[in-house]
Amino acid sequence: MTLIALEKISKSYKKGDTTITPLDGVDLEVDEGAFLALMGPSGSGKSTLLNLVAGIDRPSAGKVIVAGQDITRWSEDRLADWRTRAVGYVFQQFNLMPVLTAFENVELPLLLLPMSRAQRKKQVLTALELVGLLDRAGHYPRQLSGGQEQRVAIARAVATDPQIILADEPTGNLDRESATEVMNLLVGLNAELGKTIVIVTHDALVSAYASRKLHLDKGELVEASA
Amino acid sequence: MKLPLRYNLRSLVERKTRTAMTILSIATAIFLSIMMVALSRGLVETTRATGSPLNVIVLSQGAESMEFSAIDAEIVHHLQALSGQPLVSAQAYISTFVAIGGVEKRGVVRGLHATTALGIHDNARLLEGRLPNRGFELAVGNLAATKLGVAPSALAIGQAVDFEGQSWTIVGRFEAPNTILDSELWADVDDILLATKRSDYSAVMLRTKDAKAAGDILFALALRTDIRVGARAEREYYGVKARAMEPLRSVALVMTLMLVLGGILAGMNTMFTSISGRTREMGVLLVLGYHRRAVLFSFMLESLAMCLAGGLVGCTAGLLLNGLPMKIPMGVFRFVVDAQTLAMAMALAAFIGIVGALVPVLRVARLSVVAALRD
Ligand SMILES: Nc1ncnc2c1ncn2[C@@H]1O[C@H](COP(=O)(O)OP(=O)(O)O)[C@@H](O)[C@H]1O
Ligand SMILES: [Mg+2]
Repeated sequence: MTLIALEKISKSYKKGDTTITPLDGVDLEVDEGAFLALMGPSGSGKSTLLNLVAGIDRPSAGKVIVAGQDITRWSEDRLADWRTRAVGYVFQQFNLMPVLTAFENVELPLLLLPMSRAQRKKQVLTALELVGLLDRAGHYPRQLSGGQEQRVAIARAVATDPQIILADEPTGNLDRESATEVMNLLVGLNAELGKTIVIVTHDALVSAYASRKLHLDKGELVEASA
Repeated sequence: MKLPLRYNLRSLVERKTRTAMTILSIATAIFLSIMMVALSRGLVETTRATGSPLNVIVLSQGAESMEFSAIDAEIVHHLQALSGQPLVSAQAYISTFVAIGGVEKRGVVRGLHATTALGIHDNARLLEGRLPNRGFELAVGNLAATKLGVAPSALAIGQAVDFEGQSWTIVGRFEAPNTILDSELWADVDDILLATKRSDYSAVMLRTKDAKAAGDILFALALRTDIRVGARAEREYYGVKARAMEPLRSVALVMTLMLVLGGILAGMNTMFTSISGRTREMGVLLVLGYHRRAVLFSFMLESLAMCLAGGLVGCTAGLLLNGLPMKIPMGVFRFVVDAQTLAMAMALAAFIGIVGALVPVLRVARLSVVAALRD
């Protein structure tokens, strides 16, 4: 079953007189439960595509349909509400709040949902346990290694139990060992919890974990042989 | 609309030094504003409160002030003959140099009669000793030492001071809270005339039974062509003096505005640095699902909290000023800090917080999520 569908998506930016069009009439269908790796050279529009799916950017033309709903016309607030429940986003630079502990960082999206304090605490601890950092709950990001920070970020992304996990070069700032840990985590989320995952990377070793690979180049999306 | 409040609070705490410095500068601005207002209010209100509603003050025609008025003894007799007033007292009022322990200080001396002094100045009461009789005696106001810039012991009962070529012995101390009488020296009026080699009084004070009687006597005096004087209610006399000080209020207002502007700049600077440095964090909050308005509002609250903390510190310090005497060339006044002033000060602090955050908040308000994340 198709969970995410891009229909004739174009995105262009004006820079002075020149217009660049990283995405030019892109079509894509992502099945529920898929683990998709999006590859391509730097500047090819991978992040842009991911941001369109997350509803944090808007296409110049075309539609983004998630779970049968066209999200392209939604207001920023409606997209935000939807994202809290439906999308977990993992950044290359982790983007944890430096002033909050690991626990508090994971709690941040949960504060947006109506639930008891006890329930919230339970969900935070479950997420931290999932990434193997229960013992670091009270640590601040500066007290964690890069790999640990990214795992906290993954816990934050899954805390609200969203159907979709989007990760933009999640291993880009990590050493090989930490990268492997993070990828194993994502594989587990996909295989055991059934999360639909779209991961942007230009690392062939990373994309090897995915069940489906796509190449983005010169505005076009090409299926790569698995 | 959910706010990431803990995040905001932690952000303030994380930037301890910066936050503390800002709170301190806001507190200073608020404190100084309170001081300016308390000063001008002290001045104006003390002057205004000096007049008693039942008193009529008679000056020579055209004179605006006791210092520039001369009433001869004949007119005093005429006024005494105007029956029906419980008390009539001729006074001499001089501003002169008073030598205390060899040092000369400018002081204000009121010559009056011990028998009528407290009846006419009903806001005054004796604290110790007695009122001055003939023989170059002196009673000192509670703030006279402050006014003259000497230690209270220099004006203790039994001490002597010199002015107008005479030595005067202090026999009593009185207070007249929140009036300018409090910083005066009182002597017998005839001693003053003798010492200054004058025959004219400065003014005649009439104590009336009630407000209606006060009005009646003013009306009657206006009709008397044989007694050519300028009479007015004592309230009005000091009201005019108070109004003459209104420009001081404007000065206080202008200085307050400048201080507030300084506070705004300090707050703006802090919030600008703080918010600009956290543009990406704003982007992350938006990605997590926080609404843009909520995030911007939480930044405003951060600034507001900081400025209200500064306001609280400033108000606490300001409250300590209440009742403190201050000496200015016009006399000695007490600072007046009341709830209204403090409420205004807190409103000012809030204003500083909101305006200070507005510019940096508006700067990031229109940034797209993607642009914020790229920061
Ligand atoms: N906000 C923007 N304004 C202008 N150009 C942009 C903006 N965002 C992305 N681009 C351009 O669009 C292209 C694709 O960017 P991006 O999606 O980040 O590429 P990738 O993630 O594949 O490296 C790049 O050339 C980039 O410079
Ligand atoms: Mg990218």
